[in-house]
Amino acid sequence: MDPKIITEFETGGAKLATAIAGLTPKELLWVPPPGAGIGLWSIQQIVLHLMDDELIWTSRMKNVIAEENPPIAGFDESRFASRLFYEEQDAQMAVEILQLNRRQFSSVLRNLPEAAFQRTGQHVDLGPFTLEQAIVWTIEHLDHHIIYIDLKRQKFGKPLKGVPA
Amino acid sequence: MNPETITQFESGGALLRQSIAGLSKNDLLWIPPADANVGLWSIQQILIHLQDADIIWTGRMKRIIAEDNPPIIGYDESKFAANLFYDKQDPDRAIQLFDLNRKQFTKVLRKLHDATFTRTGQHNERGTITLAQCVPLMVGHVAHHIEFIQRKRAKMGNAIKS
Repeated sequence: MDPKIITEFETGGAKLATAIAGLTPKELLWVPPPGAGIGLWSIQQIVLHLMDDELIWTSRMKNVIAEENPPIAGFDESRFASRLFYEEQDAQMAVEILQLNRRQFSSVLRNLPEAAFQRTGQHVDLGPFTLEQAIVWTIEHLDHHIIYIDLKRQKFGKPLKGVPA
Repeated sequence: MNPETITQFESGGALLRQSIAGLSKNDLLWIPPADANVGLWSIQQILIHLQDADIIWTGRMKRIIAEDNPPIIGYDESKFAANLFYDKQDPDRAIQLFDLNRKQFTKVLRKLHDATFTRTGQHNERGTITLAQCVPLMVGHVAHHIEFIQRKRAKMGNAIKS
């Protein structure tokens, strides 16, 4: 796998830290009105969703590396968001967890032989997927949500392009 | 659920940090001889195992809380230890990740109604598990491994004096 992709994966946590820099608790918790075209979740919900999703996906990738074509269970992200008290969890801590988890798992990815990236898992909803696909999805998933964080930031007059990286 | 159990769960990271205080990199990576009766893993392997196990188990508990009796698939901890470069991962980072993940999830546990702890998941090897079983299981899991860390420390003449 292209080492640049692994570096991109590794540095995603820092991107997320930048994406929420300078926001007040009120801004983090602001839920946009439906129809605003900037997503329905608060920034806080996005950050906690990313933490939960990443912890699950890196575990799945560990299954794929260590086991033979393992079965992978799905999870219901909407129910997670509505039932796991996302508003009461700590957004900064969530970013730190995501960052530590990506850094730690990058050290595993960097030690793998090239062939390992074609190893597969069988996802109950998505079907077969490779380790390489999972890494790319995880990167894209975070980038997708950062776009929606920025759209909300623009509403507060704090666009992401004004935040020092 | 007894709030003391949740507090014990929350403090698992601190206990773990304390259990490896003063150990060198060589101490962490030392593999005990098979007949030493102090377990077969290095302390480093134990730490990374606890990191991986806790992330998986907190993920399962989240599903039990949020979904209805979700199916849970087991994982092979020996294959994880053998194939995920446990010797090359960072032990301090593992403890930090473990610690923060528990602290964050503790916030969720403290918000739950008592009835939520009777919610279940279907583990493909263990059968029906409740949230009330998972939390003490995680507390006991750390205590179990800390006991083996202490035995290894005693064997290498680096016991924690308490």
